[in-house]
Amino acid sequence: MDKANLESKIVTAMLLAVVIVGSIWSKAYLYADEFIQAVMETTMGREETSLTQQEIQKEFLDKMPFKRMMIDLNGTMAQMLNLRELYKNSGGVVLSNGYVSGIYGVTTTNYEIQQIVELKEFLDEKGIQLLYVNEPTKYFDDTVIEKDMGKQTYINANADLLLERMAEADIDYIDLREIYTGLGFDSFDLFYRTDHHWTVRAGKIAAEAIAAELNRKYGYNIDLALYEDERFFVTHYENAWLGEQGRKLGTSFVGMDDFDLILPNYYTDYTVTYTGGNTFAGAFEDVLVRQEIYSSELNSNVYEAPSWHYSYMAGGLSESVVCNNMNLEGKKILVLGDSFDQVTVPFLSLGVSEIQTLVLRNYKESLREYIEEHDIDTVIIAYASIMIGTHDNEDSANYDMFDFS
Amino acid sequence: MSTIDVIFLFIFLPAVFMTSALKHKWRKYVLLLLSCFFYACGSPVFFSLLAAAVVINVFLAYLLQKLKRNSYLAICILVLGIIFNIGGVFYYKYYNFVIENLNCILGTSFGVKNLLLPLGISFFAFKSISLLADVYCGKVVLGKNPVDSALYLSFFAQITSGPICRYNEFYAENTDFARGGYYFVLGFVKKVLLANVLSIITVEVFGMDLSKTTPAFLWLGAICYSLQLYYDFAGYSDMAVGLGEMCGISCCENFNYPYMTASVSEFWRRWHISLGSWFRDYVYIPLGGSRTKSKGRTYLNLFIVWFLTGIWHGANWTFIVWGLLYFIVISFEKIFDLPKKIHSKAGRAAYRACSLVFINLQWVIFNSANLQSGLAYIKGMFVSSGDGLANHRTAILLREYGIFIVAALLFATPIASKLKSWLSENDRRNQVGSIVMAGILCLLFIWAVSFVIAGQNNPFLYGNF
Repeated sequence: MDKANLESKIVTAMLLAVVIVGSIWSKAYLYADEFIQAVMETTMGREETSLTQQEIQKEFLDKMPFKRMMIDLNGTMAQMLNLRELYKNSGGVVLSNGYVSGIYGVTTTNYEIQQIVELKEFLDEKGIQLLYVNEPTKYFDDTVIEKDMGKQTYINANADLLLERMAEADIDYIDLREIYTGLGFDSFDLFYRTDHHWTVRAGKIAAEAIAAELNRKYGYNIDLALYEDERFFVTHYENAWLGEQGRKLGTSFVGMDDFDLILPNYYTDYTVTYTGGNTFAGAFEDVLVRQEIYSSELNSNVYEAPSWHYSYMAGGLSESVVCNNMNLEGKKILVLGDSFDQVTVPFLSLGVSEIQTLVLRNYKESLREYIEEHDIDTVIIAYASIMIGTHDNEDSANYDMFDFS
Repeated sequence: MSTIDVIFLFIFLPAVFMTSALKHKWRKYVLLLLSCFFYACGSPVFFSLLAAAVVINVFLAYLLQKLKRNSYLAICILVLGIIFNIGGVFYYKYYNFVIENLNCILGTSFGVKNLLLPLGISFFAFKSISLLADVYCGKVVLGKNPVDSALYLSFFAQITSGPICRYNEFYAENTDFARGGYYFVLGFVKKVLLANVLSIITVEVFGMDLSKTTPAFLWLGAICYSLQLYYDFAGYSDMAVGLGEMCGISCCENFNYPYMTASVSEFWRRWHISLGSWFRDYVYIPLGGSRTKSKGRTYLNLFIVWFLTGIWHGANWTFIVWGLLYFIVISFEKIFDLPKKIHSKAGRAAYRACSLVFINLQWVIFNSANLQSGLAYIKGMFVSSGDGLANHRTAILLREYGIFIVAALLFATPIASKLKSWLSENDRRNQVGSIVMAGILCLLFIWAVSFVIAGQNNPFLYGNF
């Protein structure tokens, strides 16, 4: 047997093994029929009754039993070769400190400021207060990315520009970057490595800062002692979960994240109505945190496990109402938020009587009608800086986040 | 569906393997069905167009075979066939380009159409024309079964991006399943591990605002694009050759270490060989080639070939200019008999380097959205305009992707072939070497599959042509 022949035979035997074993293991035959049907229907120009080719491919890939193994293999190789940007289109880039992060383009903020100013005018007419909260991203300083990746990012520059224009338009805001820096935090301490969200602790600090601002400027009398650290239980989970970004890169590349479950150690009493109208009554830990998400049964496969970040306000932030029955002050706050607020709203609710929440990318009705109908005292727009500029891209899932009409 | 999709790997490919268990006479029917299905997956809207084009071309080919060569009717049918195929390409690929340019030049306002490009239309048209012309010339004798011709025109491994294989090569019957598997794996690895990874750099560099770039950054992008395009297309071609061999179908190799060229003319004898030989056999030689009475006519023939080569790649002035620049340089080499006239080793090395730089700059134009941006990019490669950040970025890219760039540069040379021939000098070394090299390729293939499953996948660049 000559050499070339032997080499070809070994390689071809491996190819056959990979393809046939992979095909049987992934039960590809179950998808073949569906796939043929989808192709036939599209080709014949019939009204599509089945899934599209892309949907079948996605389903096939998602249910592939060796997908996790292959992602881990890919992640291991990426880590060994230091390919930090390999997943930039799906998960993000990996910074030198191991944090998965995004790189963001520049925006004019014209749309955002125009929408905020118009909303402010509308709210002023109705006698409703407005507060904008700028929630940071993993880095407070854009030069972090320049030094680490040699690339320009504009997320903080975009936020600075928007806040500057809001100051000129006499619109109140809190820049949480200043709050955290003032408390001596490094930005990365406040975020997960494998998820784009901030930690529960960061959300709690943000809630305290908002409460302080409501007291200072908006005539609230929130007891800030409710937010003191000694009034909370903290349960620390080490290497417990994998964030959304980490799922794209694999645990072998970016490892797992820790998680702090923070619950008040004092008596609480809530009535919470979540997205869809389901109402629950009980204590903070029962109705605002779904703790079964941390169970080992749900986390046997970290790639398929529910996101731990969403264990707070697990019933959804869209059109939810959180009533704190222990607080009878009576003011109603509407939070226009994003997923960062999953861990802000529960803590903010400790000091106020009612918080209603809307996520505008999911809310298709008129915001102004909602405000008029719900007797709101204060509107808080609490957005992560990554929301600024999303209106520049029509395909963005967050395209409507600044549409306050 | 492309040959690097999970659906292809785990659903379509097992079906292809199964065909090897069939008797030869049945296998071609199944392969034709699989080819139809493959095309329907990639271009469902145009499947009926493909089916009609296959039927018409096969019918015309049989008609030509029946007629006497040089007869008036045979010439008419051949011309009709060529017009039919070129007409299809013109309509779908160039109609809007012509209308837009007419409107621009004449100030007219003809409307453009919202046309999608049928998958692999240029490759299909060229194969069809070669079939008709070869049957007309008697180089190809069709058998009784029209399925042979239909399979030749629609074979799934070649329909999207070639190679533009000839009918007689296609049925050469010197195939080997194991060799096919080896080529498929090799092509898969080239495409996924080299072309796709290098594309991370090229997409970034070519998408960058030029005012923020530096020459080092732009050179890196240009060199990576040259390598990416090579591994993308050579990877596809290897996979096409491999799939063909596994199906008992032979196919010519399309690349022969093109960047090892000593001149620009030689480059085109090493790059996309099947396209170059198609233009030689069906355009250049029929026009008279270089055996014409006047030198002017020879260069006119060359001009026509390079103009067509340029525009074949796409309806854009960048491609036309790209083709015409090749015409100029290749004519220059022909007139001065270069590089043969250069006798010193250093001179030849310098000429080789200049040729590679020219080819590299040509790929910049090829990859640019328009001439202006292409020329601005080339200018930026020599004149500094950006700040230090781009140089910092260049260093980071080199540090992170250096291993891929070095591997791409190394395997663009015949280093692996040289190593193989050295190993084959000794029996024991030969055995061990085979096992080690096969093992490395197997590991690379599994790594490449992990890229596909992890979603790190890109379409083939030549799928656009």
